[in-house]
Amino acid sequence: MPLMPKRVKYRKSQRGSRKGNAHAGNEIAFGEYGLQALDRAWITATQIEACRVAINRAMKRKGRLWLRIFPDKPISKKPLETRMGKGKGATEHWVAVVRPGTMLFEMGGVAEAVAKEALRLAAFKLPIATRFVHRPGLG
Amino acid sequence: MKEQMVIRASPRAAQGSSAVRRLRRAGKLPAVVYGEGKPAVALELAAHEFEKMLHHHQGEHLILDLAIGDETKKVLLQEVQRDALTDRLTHVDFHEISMTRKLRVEVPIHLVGVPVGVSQQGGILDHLLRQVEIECLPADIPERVEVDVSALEVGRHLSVRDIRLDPARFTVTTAPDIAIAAVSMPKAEEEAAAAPAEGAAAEPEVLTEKKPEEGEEAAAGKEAKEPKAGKEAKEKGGKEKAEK
Repeated sequence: MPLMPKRVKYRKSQRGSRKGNAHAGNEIAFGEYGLQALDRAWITATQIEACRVAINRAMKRKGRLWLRIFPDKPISKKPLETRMGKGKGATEHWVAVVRPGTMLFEMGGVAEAVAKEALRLAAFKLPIATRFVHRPGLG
Repeated sequence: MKEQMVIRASPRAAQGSSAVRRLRRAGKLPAVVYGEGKPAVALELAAHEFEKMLHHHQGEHLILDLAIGDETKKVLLQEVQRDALTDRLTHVDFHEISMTRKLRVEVPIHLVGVPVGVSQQGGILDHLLRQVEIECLPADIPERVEVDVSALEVGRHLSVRDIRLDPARFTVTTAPDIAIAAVSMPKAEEEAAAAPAEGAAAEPEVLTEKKPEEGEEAAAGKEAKEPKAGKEAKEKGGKEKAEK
């Protein structure tokens, strides 16, 4: 089951704006290494789950992983071959709004080489450019 | 630390985001100096020179001589702000200090050794607290506080009270019961994957949606039936009349 909120205030949302850079959630807060977004996108719950699986496999359950983004935005879609009108379509999937600078994932308790490889594999599952970062005191 | 360097700065008249942005474009770096009960003074520095100085001195707490015109102040490098994307310097805070008065600083905690719980029991080391606040004289500020975790077993943790520092020179001001590091067993992959599947619903609960109550629903059902029955009776009556 992909990630989604347990309860929401409204069933559907408008598209909103993704302008500017990330002003919060742009630093390593929990782990030692992280994957930072360099572009803006709607990252779907499925993509986040694919990254989580890839990272967990690569680090062989030896370290810790923090997911720093959560898909809390519902995206609706009208069914195929439907005439326009008759209201907004039903929620199809959930996304997280990602701006340049957002820290996507964090890792800790593993060697830098393991973290780098795990996050490299996770980056392939994402539709945007990312970079590997570590805590200022490390390396 | 213990590095003695001189940084040249000049008072800054330009304030506000757009003025400061112009300043950065011109190769200057906005800064501020405060402390010792004096009002804060806005400054500007040469960005490239300061970046070079930081690059050569990897230390969390640098004590510098800040030269503003003819005046020289002893300052602590309090905070360096960088752009999260470009990593360029955006702002620097200097804290004016007196070398004879104790001050409180955040010092990074470095874990030393590989815990027994990790090397022999297959656990994961969690570094929970990365900085500790200590009170000491500026000349005594340590670059780091080292904590030996090699004896840590699975399910055990080290807290702030386990930090060993010379009590004559240092006072740890962080609460003593805060955990620094702990060793725990990794969660099973299946368990982590199964947990969300159990509680997960196909759709989230909508808080603002009106839910019809039982009493209301029954009443609404009756109302809906009655007018229909009435209508049907009327229609029947009408038809009968027409037939007559």
